Amino acid sequence: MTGFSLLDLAVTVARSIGWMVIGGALLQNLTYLGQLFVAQRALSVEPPEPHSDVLWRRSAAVVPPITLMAPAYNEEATVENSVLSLLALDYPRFEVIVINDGSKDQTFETLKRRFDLEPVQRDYEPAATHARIRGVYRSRAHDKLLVIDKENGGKADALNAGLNLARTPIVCSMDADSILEPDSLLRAVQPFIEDPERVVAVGGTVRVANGCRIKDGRLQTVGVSRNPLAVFQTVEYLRAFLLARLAWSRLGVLTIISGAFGLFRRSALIEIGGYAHGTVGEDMELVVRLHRRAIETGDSHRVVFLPEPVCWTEVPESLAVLGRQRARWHRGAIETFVRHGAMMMNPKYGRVGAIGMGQVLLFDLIGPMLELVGYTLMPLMWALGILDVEYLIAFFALSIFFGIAISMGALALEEAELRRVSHVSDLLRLAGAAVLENFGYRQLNSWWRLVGFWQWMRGVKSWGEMTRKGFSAAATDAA
Amino acid sequence: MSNLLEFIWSLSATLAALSCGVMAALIVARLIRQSRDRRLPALSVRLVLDLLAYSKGEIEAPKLAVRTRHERDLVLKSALDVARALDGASLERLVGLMRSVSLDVHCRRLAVRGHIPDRVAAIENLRLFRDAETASFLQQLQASPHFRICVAGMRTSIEVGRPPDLEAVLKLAERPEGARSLALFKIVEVCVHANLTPALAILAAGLPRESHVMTLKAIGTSRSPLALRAIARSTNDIDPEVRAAAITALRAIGAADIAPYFVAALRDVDWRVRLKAVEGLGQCGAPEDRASIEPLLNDSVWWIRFRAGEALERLARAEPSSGASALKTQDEGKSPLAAAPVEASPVAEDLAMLAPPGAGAKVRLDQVWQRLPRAANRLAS
Repeated sequence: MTGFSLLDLAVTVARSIGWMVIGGALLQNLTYLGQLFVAQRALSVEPPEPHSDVLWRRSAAVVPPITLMAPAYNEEATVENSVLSLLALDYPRFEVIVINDGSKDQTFETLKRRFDLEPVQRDYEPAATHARIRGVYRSRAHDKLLVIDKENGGKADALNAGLNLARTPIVCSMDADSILEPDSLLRAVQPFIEDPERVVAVGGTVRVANGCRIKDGRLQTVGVSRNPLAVFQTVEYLRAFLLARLAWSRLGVLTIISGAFGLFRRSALIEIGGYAHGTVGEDMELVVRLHRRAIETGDSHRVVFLPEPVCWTEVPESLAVLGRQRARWHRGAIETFVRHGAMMMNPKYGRVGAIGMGQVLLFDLIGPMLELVGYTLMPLMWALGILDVEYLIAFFALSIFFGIAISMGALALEEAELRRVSHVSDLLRLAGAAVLENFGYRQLNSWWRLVGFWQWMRGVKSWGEMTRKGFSAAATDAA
Repeated sequence: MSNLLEFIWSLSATLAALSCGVMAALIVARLIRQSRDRRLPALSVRLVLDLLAYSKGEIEAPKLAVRTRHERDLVLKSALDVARALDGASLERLVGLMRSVSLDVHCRRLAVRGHIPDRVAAIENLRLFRDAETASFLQQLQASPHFRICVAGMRTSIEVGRPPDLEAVLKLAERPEGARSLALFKIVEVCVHANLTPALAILAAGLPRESHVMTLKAIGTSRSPLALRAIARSTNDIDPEVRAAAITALRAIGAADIAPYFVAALRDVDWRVRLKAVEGLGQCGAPEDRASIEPLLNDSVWWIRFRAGEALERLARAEPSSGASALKTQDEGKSPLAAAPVEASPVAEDLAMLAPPGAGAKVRLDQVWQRLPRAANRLAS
């Protein structure tokens, strides 16, 4: 009798967990569907201005000066092209601050040689904490370029140094290995012009540069990589930026602006003490802290995402590097959630606490675990004979087709409103990736997230080694 | 339970069909667009050449394809490109041709319905048509409650050579937001070069501070002595920011008899006004004004003491009563500001950073105000 009861209990528990997994997956997919509708509405109501010369004519005279802060750590392969692309931006008034974060390779020497640096004195107020600055250098060849050489302290630390030395009302944080489109600053600054009192941060789309042709730091042609991992990530980035971030931004609950490209009101960053140390998700933590501070002080504020200012970045093409990157991202999300967990479902923080932090909990914390529990539990339940195989297959198929439909929706939105994919063959390749990513890649992603969770539990703080080919090599591959 | 299973499978099938349909539609749409785009450059070049030849009377009116919106946009864009190279009778011919295919009506129709960016683009395209009907239409748009439509209407109105509607400008000036004030600044700036009336009316209307300040700055750029009296009135405003903006505007105008305003402002209770005044006097004053500046060498604000020293040095070198010569020097980019070592002083670097492109030494000191307290603290510490 007892044995029967225990089995009964085990079956009930297994079934409950099974329903939770199904419920979680359904909730996730419905959220994606909602994001698709919100993003479609946002893009059709206010499509990006296709001609940057029109933007220039309308706003060049009134744009505020911007400082671009590009931290560089062991970026000798890409730093030259990246800095060249920054210096070639179409924006009336800007300064580029490259922060060499104690690189162990030839990053600083490359900069010094290529841009003819000379030491200069620049006084600053230490509003945000950072490691010791070894020297500040101005380029003789490009007066817009300032290089800070400092001891290693991490990306947040480097950005804090840039923030202290910046002298403009708006600062732009970015990765030194990313390439900004020439008009991206002009586009990204628009919300600061239109709503200067409330906008504290603006993020732009990050796209995958693998497969694109890049010359002298400028994007020549848009392409899709032949590496399957890079193609999967292209679809993933499309979905993340074009659907999720756009939708959250429209709902006023955006909790992350990519570290690869984001504009911030400098005074707002100074008020919160700059970037936080001790986290690998400094970009997300910063935005959540901006929300928190503004809500606590009663300031009306906006964090905006725009689909059109585009930043191109090189994504990992090997499983090991990608795995490390994803685990780190996930660790960053957990760290942010733990630091600001008090905001979750707290009525004081309104939508940001309920939806913004709620989606972090659902997608970043519970989501991957539920998915993996599902993948292990369902076959187990089937083996134990407590799950009908027909249901198992049906639910799996539904989950896959939902995922494909959402990815197709993102592709359709991209094609209808932004049209960045150059060739039909590229479009087909992306569509193929949208189908194939569901068989293996998606599961791997969940696994990496779980690894990230495990690393967080163990208190791992390192970024992990990131190797890059550099844009010149990428261009050769594309050719 | 079998119903649930059926539902799941039918939902999956629907999603699969939807995905395939979306993909197929994307590919077909892309192929159609590609074939159209392939013809576009040749079409565009031929259109521009035809329009140019027709405008110069070399050919008969070309047959324009304006059935779809895409075609109409292409024709309009080409016409706007061609119009840049034309004037007088040839421009009239071109505009007449556009009117004959009702493109003015098309623009006006688009300007009042649909999404805001499309409407703004249509309004901007109206700059091709410089007739009374368009002017009156643009005037109507300026009364739009929507900020971007209102500003687009004003700008286009200015581009077609008509000053914007005074009432609309005044309404715009009433909006306190920074961006609106910046837009207002551009509008007033353009206005004042043609006709000072709207800007002077804004000054007289007692509007919010931000608008008032922006208008003063804009009037300053006109360099018109006609505005002197209106600006001078603002030097007695109760708001220190307005007084400082008035002093800045006076300095920009640079008329011969403005030194007394600067001298009076040297005794202002607000340090920003005193700073502007001492800078102005340093540039526009004469050696006999040195006595008025000397007390400021003991001012409580370090930046004023610094500027006072600079002004005294400059006036010592100047010819007696040579106010205008200092301004002239500044215009030519030879002012001592331009020569200041940029890296030596953080504030000087601030100035260089904030200087508008190509402006040489004409730095926008007013934008540095926000940094001055910090700089002062740094010096004190």
